[in-house]
Amino acid sequence: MNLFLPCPPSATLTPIAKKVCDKRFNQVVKLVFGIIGTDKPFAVGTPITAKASWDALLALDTAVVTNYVENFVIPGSDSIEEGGETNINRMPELIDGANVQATWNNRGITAAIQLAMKKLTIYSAIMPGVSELGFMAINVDGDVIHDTTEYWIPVFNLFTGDIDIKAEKGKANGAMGKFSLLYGWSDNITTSTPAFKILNTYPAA
Amino acid sequence: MESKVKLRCEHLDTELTLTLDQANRLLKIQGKDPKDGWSLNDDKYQLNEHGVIIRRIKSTNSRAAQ
Repeated sequence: MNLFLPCPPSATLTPIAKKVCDKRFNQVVKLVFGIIGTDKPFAVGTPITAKASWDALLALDTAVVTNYVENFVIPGSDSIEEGGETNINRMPELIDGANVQATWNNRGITAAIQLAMKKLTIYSAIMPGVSELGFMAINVDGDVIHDTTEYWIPVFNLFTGDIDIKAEKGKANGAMGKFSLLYGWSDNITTSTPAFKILNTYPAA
Repeated sequence: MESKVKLRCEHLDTELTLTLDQANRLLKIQGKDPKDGWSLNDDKYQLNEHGVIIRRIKSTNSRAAQ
């Protein structure tokens, strides 16, 4: 998103719609990663709400659903400002909005799951700032959080760490997961509710 | 060239053309007897006893063979 377009700006302001309730995306518990191709993953004939659409998407092996993840967080983004001392009124220059990093814990995963997660990285880091990997999230209610029109939200530098070993007896192990999102990643997000129990369905055994 | 298999989903009123591997993977993912799922819609293929898509075995005419 470019904060400084259109230039020149419209002579009138964009109306802000009245908020009638709190929009809540709720706790994210599973992630969906996929290669962003030329075709969108869902369409009119294959809607995001139908199990048959998801089955077909996953059969192509260009999309995967993770196991349950814990403590998934995407912080709100801040601005990037520079300078100040020599600017008029010592006001810093607003450069852009900052990228943000999503983080989570892959709790109790096996080495095979860890390795499969690590193999996603290359698609998200073609070179710095270039990615072919997108994500959608599934919340604890089984709703899918996605871009309204494109479905995939691009992710960069997806990283899966090695597991930790805890000092305390009996505690579960975890492996860090993280990726970066562009400023504006949430400009067009929405939720869809599949007509089936998606959390119980994927990943398929 | 890799063989393509046609599948149809009545619920979505949509057809898909996949490779044999992809089509078998789809049937595996959607599970046995899925409600509103995909089914084989291709004369060149059939399901074997395990529900796996295989090339249709041509029935030989036994009289002609004699």
